[in-house]
Amino acid sequence: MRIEFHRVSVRREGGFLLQDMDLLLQERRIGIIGANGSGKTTLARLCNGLVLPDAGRVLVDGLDTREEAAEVRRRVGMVFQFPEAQIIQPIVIEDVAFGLQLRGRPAKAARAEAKRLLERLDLLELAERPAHSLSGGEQQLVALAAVLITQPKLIVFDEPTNQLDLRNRNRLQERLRELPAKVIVVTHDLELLADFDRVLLLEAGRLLFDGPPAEAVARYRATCS
Amino acid sequence: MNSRDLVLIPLFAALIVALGIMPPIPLGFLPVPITLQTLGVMLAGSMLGPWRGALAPALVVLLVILGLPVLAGGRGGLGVLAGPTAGFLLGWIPGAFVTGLIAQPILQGNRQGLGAFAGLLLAALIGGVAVVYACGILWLALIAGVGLGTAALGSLAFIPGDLIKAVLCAAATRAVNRVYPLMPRSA
Amino acid sequence: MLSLYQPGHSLLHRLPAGAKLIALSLFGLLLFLTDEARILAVAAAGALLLLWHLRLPLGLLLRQLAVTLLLLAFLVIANGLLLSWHEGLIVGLRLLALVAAGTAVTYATRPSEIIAALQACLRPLGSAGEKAAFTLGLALALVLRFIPEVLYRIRELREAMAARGIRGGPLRLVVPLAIRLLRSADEVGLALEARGYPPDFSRPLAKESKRQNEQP
Repeated sequence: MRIEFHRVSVRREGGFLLQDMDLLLQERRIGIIGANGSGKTTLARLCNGLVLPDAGRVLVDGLDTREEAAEVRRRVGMVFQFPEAQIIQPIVIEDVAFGLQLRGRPAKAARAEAKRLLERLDLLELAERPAHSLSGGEQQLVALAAVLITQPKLIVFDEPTNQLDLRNRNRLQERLRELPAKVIVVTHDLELLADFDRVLLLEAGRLLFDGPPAEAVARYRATCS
Repeated sequence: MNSRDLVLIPLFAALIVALGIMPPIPLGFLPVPITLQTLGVMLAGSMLGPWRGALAPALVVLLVILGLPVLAGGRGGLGVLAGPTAGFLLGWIPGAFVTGLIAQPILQGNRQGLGAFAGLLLAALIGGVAVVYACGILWLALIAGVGLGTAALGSLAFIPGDLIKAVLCAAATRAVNRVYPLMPRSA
Repeated sequence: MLSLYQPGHSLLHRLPAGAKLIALSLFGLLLFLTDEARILAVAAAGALLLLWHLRLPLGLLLRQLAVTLLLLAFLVIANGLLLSWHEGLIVGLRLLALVAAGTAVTYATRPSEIIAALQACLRPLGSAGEKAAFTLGLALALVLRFIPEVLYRIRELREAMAARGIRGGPLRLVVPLAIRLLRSADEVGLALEARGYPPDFSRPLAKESKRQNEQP
């Protein structure tokens, strides 16, 4: 699983959200940090084609996100910042099964597999609950399950712990560590990235630093003071 | 259908249902308390345009067919559709359509101020009130044998409340459209 | 949201949903083709019998039908006074038969069965029909998903306004509510796309089993 950015720019009125990015992302765990408005979320959303570049192109395993969005999203899952906004189906188990149904799996089989997954993730007791009645942390874990069900090779997390309390944040961190998939995590929670392979620091749509987490965080702290 | 429409239409259907769950608001000078559900229908037409706007109440009608208690007072089911007031329910669909038909060019154009408000008010009145009542009264006359005149008379008590709703709808649509453009701007 | 369906084992429960809907429509049509009080009386009696054999709690029924029955009574009287009591009787019997039959079908049929029946009608139309059936199911799920959220946002806004001592008409609520809901719709739309909407039903099912063994 490799993501390539070839001279990618994303424009916005009066400027750029991202300027002239060239990247090769294939490490197992990559972090993205930066101030608000630095382009982090844009970069994350370029990885699964939710945002398309105004200039240049993004290739996921050789697939152009502009042309092969469906196949790209089969391989790249995304977990968003707001837990409740990711709910599609009213009942938990159906929300988890939904990704499979979108890909043609019949309802019964999809449900059975969702049940197995929830069991593996220790979330089975939530299966028949209305998703809106769950706590933010539970919703976020269900969102992760809903993404995992299609076995993506890469999962992008866009500020996943922002809305969570400490306990749920720790739970999510554990889950992150156990994932078989590669991850790209956009976050303000600098501790989350401590043992990552690579961290990108963005500022005003450009890459300020690209390297080991400790240094990236130090640089970031420097720019903030 | 793109994902945005696929989400907007059920959202407004849910708004119509939620407004039906809210208790009616009594206003001293009105003979009957205002139920808010038809406000949702007007808003759907006004904010989503004719086609999407009509699909929102259509979804609500589907929920009624399925037997969900989505109408004001927790009512629903085929008994309602078989009953005398079904015309008022089914009339939501062409009503929202007509509201959208009139409102859409206003939102897409650059008309400001009172002109835009008047146009949106007209949209809500013609679609959300006139068309809906026409359907309801017609159905009542057909099903229940009473003349059109009698049926119309019976509905009079609700009209003042609906006028207020139409004003609310027009004002709200304008205010929302300023912050959150609802239609792709033309030219 | 809980439906009006009441579980049971009656004959009406066991009939397929599609058949029930078609039968109901035909029944309704036939009722309008006749003005014979005797026939309508039999039809009404039959429909009431249908309703009765479902053994529904009376309180439940009355709550649902109260408004309709009241209106029915009013219409009978209006007809009686303006036209004739015979007319009133006809109208009353017809409406009673219709409402009773419709109510009986609703209480004896699961919503999921009705939706499945509707989807079954769409599916044979090829991949467009397949997609329409799927979209219908998804649209319904989304309505049910949004209802609690809309109610929550209304409550939230009311509390916020009360906390700030703002007394206001519904207008002060509608605008921020609509804006908040529209933003929520944007987010859900994004999530929907990220999960892989729109579905592509024209391709054959991809082989999922091998993927577990692939290296990420």
